[in-house]
Formats: sequence, C-alpha cells, structure tokens
Amino acid sequence: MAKYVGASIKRVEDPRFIQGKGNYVANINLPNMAHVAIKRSPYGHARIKKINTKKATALPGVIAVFTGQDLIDGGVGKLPCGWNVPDIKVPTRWPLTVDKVRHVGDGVAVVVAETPYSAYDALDLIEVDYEPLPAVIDARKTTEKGAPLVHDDVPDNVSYTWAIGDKEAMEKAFAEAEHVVTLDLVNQRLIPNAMEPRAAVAQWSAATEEMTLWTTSQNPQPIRLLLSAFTLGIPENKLRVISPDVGGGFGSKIFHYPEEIIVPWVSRKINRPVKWVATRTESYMTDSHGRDHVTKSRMALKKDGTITGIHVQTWANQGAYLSTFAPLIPTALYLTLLSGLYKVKGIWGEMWGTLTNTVPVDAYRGAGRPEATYVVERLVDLAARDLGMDPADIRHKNFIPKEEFPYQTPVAFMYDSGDYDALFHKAMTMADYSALRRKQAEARKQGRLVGIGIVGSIESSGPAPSKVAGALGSAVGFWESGVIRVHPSGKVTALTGSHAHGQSHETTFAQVIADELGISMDDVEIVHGDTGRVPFGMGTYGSRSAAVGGSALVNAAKRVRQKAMKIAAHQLEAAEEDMVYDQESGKIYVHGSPGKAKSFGEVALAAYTAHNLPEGMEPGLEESAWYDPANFTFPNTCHIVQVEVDRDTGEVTIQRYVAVDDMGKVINPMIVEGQVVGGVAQGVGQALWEHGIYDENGQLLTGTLMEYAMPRAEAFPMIETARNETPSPHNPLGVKGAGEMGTITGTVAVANAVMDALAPLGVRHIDMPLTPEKIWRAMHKS
Amino acid sequence: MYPASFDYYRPKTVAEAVKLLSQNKDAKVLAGGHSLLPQMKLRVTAPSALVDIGRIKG
Repeated sequence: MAKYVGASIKRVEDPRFIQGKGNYVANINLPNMAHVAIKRSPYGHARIKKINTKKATALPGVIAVFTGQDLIDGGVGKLPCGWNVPDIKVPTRWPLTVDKVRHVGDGVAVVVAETPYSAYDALDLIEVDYEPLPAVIDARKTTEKGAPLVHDDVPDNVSYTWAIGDKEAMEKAFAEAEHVVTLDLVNQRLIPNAMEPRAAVAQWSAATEEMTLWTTSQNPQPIRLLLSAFTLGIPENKLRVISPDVGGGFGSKIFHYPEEIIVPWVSRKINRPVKWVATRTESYMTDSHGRDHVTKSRMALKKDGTITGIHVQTWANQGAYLSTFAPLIPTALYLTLLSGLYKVKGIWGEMWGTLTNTVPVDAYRGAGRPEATYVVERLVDLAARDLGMDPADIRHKNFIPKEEFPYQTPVAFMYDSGDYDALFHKAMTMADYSALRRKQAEARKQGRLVGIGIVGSIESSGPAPSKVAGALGSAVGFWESGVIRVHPSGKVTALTGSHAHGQSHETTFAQVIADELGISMDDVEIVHGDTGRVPFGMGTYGSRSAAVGGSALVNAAKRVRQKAMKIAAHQLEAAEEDMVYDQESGKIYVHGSPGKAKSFGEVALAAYTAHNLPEGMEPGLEESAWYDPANFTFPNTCHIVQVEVDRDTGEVTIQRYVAVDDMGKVINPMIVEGQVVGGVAQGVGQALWEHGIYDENGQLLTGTLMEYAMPRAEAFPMIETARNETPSPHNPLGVKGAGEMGTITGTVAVANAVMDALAPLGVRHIDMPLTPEKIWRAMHKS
Repeated sequence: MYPASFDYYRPKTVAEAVKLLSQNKDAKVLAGGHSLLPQMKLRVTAPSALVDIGRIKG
C-alpha cells in the first residue's frame, strides 16, 4: 500500500546542494559582523607562565583580545561531560585554558577583529610565555609510573574504568579451553574529515537580551541546553541555536566545543555579530578524534571451533579532556558488542579511559562498535586459521540461531532479531564464495598473494531506552520528538528533533509521512535543526534518526489521522469505527461509500474553521509525539572482500567487495545504498590508509590533508550491495540503523582479507593502517 | 586560511619586474601560485610583496 516507502525517491536536498545553494554557517553574514580567531598551543604540554596581549590589541582593526581568565571572569562555565560512569574523574575544561596547555591546538586566547585577516595578523602578536613540559600520548603508557600527569587531580591519568560480562564464566572457559588465541592490537587514532569545517556565528540582541547562535552541530537542542545550564548561562528561552545545512559530521559535530561558547560570549561582550570558521588545520587539531585503543585480547575455543570465552582489556585514549560523550564510546558502545554474532557465555571485557596530551577522542562513525567488531572478527579469523577451519564455517558454527531471538548476550544487550545463517548464505551466494576460494588456491600456486575476508558484524543502533541510558551513565535521554503541523490548506510542516547533515531526512521522512497521511510528498516540508522552530530533541548520531526520529514522526502522523477520522465521521454523520482512511489517496469515507468522501484537505480546513467539529473537540490539526525506543535496533551484516597484495611493493588492491546488510525495513533503498557504500569507504580508510599520528612531544604529525591519507574512489571496485531484511520488531517502521554498518564492517573485512593473503608467509597480524611499507616489512621479516 | 598582508605588483615588462624585485628584497615571484599561495595562506611564508609575472608580454 505504500506509495513512497521502499522506493528510491531522488533526494529532495540534492538540487540545492548540487547548485551550490546550500546555506552553511560559513555562508551567514550579518551587518556589522566581526571576526574571531583563536590563539592555539603549539605545544603538546606546557605551563602558561604569562600571556601578553598588548601588541595584538594595538593592531589596527583589532577590537579586543581576551584570554581564558577574561572568559572565566566574564562568567563562562566549565565544559561538562555528558556520560558519567561510576567514580569517573572529570578533568576541568574551560573554553580557553588558563593554567596549562594540554594538547597542540588547545586554545589560550581569542582575537576579535574587523576582518579575519586582521584577526589572524593579531594572533601572531600575542606573546605566550610557555614552560614546556614532558608529554604523554599513548593510551596505555600514560598509566605507567613516572608518566607526566595531564591533569594534576587525575592520578595515573586514569579518568575511569569500566567492565562488563561474566568474569567467572570467562575464567572457566579459559581454564577448560582446548585452544586459546591471543591478540594484542592497536586500533589506531582516526581524524574525522567532514567536508565542512566547524563554524559558529553569534548575534546578541541587547534590546531583547536574546542570543542567536548558528553552529555546525548534529544536535542543536542539547547544545543549547549545555550552553544554558553549564557554559554560557543564557537561559534556554533567550537562546536560539540553529544548525542550518551541515556538511557532514560523522560524530565529530555531536559534541559541545569551546568555540560555541567563545563566539556568543564575545558577541555579547562587544555587542556585535561575531563569526568564526575553522581552518582545515584547526579542524585537525580541535575536532574530536576517533578510536585510539590499545587492546589485549584472547579467545577460548573447543577443538571443533566452538567459541567458549572472550576476554578483552582495552586502554582507550580519551585525549587531554573528556569530550561530551567520550566515556560512552569505549564502555556501553564497545564492550557490550563483544558477543558479535555469536553465542558465547564466557565474555568479560574491561577498560581504562586514559588521559593524554592529544586532542580529545569521542564518537566517530561507528563509535566503539567498529573497535569491538575488529577485536572479535580478528580473533575468530585467527582461531579458524589455527584450527584449520574455513573462516565462514567457524562463524556458522557459532551463530546465535534465529529461533533464539530475542537473545540475551552476557554483555548487557538483548538482540532483537536476525537470521545470520540466511544473511551469510545470501552474501556467500552473491560472491560465489567457494569459487573465490578455488581461485585463491590457484593464485597461491602461482605465488600470488590473494586473500579473502568474510566478516559478520552487529551494531547497536538507535540508542535506546532513556531509562537504560540513564542507568549506564547518560546525562541525557535518548527519545526523539516529532510534530506534524497540518496547515488549513492541507499542506504539512513536520518538525523533527533529529538533524540531517547528509542523512536525507527531508526526503525519507517526507516519504514516511506522506504514506501515513495518504498525501503527496511534495506537500510535506521537513524542518529540523532550529531550536526556534522545533521542540526539544536529541539530534542525530548512532544511526538513530529513522528508528527513533522517524518513529516519533509516524506516531504523530497516526494521531493526525485519528483526529481527521473523527472530524470526517462527524461531518458524514457516521460512527468513527465505520470510517475508512484510504492511505493511497488521503480520502476518508464511510465503509462502503467511497463516493461520498472527505479529502485530507477538506478535513484540514474544517479543523481550522471549526464550524462543525465533534462536540468537545479542540480546533486545529497538529499533533506531536515523543518516542522513547523500547530497545536499540541490531542491524547485522556479512561483507566479503577479495584483495591481492603486490609481492614486490606490499600494496593492497581491493578486487571485489560484497556487502549484504540487514538494516530492517528500508525506507529509501538508494539512500541506504549510499550510506553503505560511503560507510565501507570510510571503514576501508582505516584499514589501509588513515592514521592520526603524534610524536613523543605531542606534536601532531598528521596536521593536514597532505599527511593524513583519506580514501579515494580510485581504490575501490564497484561495491556490490544487497539486503537481508528482518524488520525490527519494536519500532513502528520496522527500521534499523543504516548509517554506520559499512564503517563497522569494512575495516575488519579488509584487514582480515589482507591477513588471509599474507597467511602463506606466516604473517598473523599487522596493526592498521595496512600500508605497503608495513606489509612489505612484515613479508620480509617472515 | 588567511595570509598576512602584502603588496602586489603586476609589471608589464621584464625590466620592470627586475626593478621591482631588486627594490623589494623579500618579494616573491608569483607565476601560477599553486605552491606559493597555499604556503602564504598557512602563514608558512609571508613575503612583503608579490611580483606577478603573469602579464608580462612577449
């Protein structure tokens, strides 16, 4: 019956983006606007002895220069941490630091000037007297005796620890194991590279004492709350936060950043509009980074390949401060996925969240789940190799059988649905897995290094019941809001608390609402990202928009439909239960008399004229819903990759990539396919190229796109995608998250394929990225 | 990506360009600008003047 849902409707957003008509924060120019630039630390770790701003202030064009102390004296607050696990030590973080700089890029002063040019000229004239201190950059070494303290009040640089699972069962599994695989690994630091750098524009109205802030955020409402309650102190009802078109986030634009405090603070101080736009180099040294784990892991098995235990210890680098959701990522999004697709009782995961002289680390596409998938799927592959099994067979042997869903893992999650055998069968048929293995054997005979990766992964997407999140340490809820405002003409404005920065809400949400109400998609306008227009909501991350935000909208639309039915029933003098709402046409009629129907538009107008409404009914046609999901959704995938490693150079070529995903019901296949393909490219980026590197002094060696290697289209074959749909049983749309599966799976799929290629040479493991140099060295060591 | 301020000259003859370069000791020659301008925008280099030789005839 659906007209739009399930169809590859072209993106409503594309005409404006393709024509360069998007409205990004950097496009916003206001009369009399001043420009801000921020003086940043060139050191990884140093004490600030003195800051002299005299020369900078005297430069023509400069309006003022402020230090961290000026901001504190002017009433700014510390940046809070939004996820507080038990006994966490949250280090102090001011918008501009005052005592020490703790990473390269840490802000120490702000210049506001008539033009960005004078602002940057003035930066060079600010004299900061630093006393350089020894730095520490490694997630684990920072906990060692004698390591410099990043914050004096956080002993051993350990901000928090966390553990989950059944330790006793794990120990028993290893005591009784017939085979044990061990793997020490580094999941390297990644630097997000959203196409649009972060930016902020603020406009203070002295007359009304209202502040408007345009910021590149994935979640403007929580940012407004944090600004009001913690950092800026302007009440929520006097503060409007707008995230207009945002050019990609990948997690890095979830968090509350210092510039979002500094820019409005300066605007109020000088009573002028103020703008800040990050340079790409600033992005590299201030946007929260991703991953950066040091891990020790082991897996216990029976000789027949049955997995009986998994034990993981991880030191998660949190950087110099705790970013807004930093402690969530390596705890409730990481250790809770150690069960993977497998039925294993003895799982125990423990971790240490550590501080170092590096940029804070927080969620980056996948956020904890790629790290968990990497550990589990690397261990399974090594186990298969040790036991002489095919990697596909060992996985099949350990899958959670489909009749056991919902399945309670020993690491908190209750998986909602899935059919992993069918999923793998579909992918293996599509890739012709046995033929791939045959050809691999032939290639090996010729001395060629061909490898196949077959990987299964699971994601916990669409977080999740607010009550559970609260118990796990969240300071916020994870519901979403939706409002369906039907205008008297029958046109619809839909307000969502989630936010699009590439996810295509304007298209997919319109598809869902149009189908629910039986109207044209063209009559549905989606509004998001402006606290002045939409109700409180939680924004977009964790592949939650369709499952949580979409569910709120569809529930609100259902309420609209119910009210419309009541009005039509009243006007047609029929009982409500005799009414039919035709979702193809939007016509409402008495059962058996479709000829005498009220159109959706007629009912909308009637609701607003209120001349003839049922007794006691309030006028208007606008409904809202607040949807708190009953559970996460658990998308799952099977990706199969074939690679070849060049014997002479160690270079990897990806020859085939097959991705079969279960993302529940799909609203728009074209958009979902785009999410999978883009996600895979991003995941493979980690496997083969990307690495954010610091030297021992805390200097960021990969500070520009010249040094940090991003994936390029030329490195990929056509990515073949297919879906294995098992609808989520607990949300009204049956959808699961689609945005992160490619990234979660792509990394380890390629890593396993490369290790499979190198297996004949006895190479067991190389830490990512698998650059030609590293592979060549490993080839020549063995 | 905001370079420091600089003077900009656009000589029409080789002689004029040579003269400008001898008068401005830390001036840089601007030909295509593909290397120089990004360096200036990153403030890796900050010449006091650019002598643009793109419009010299012949």
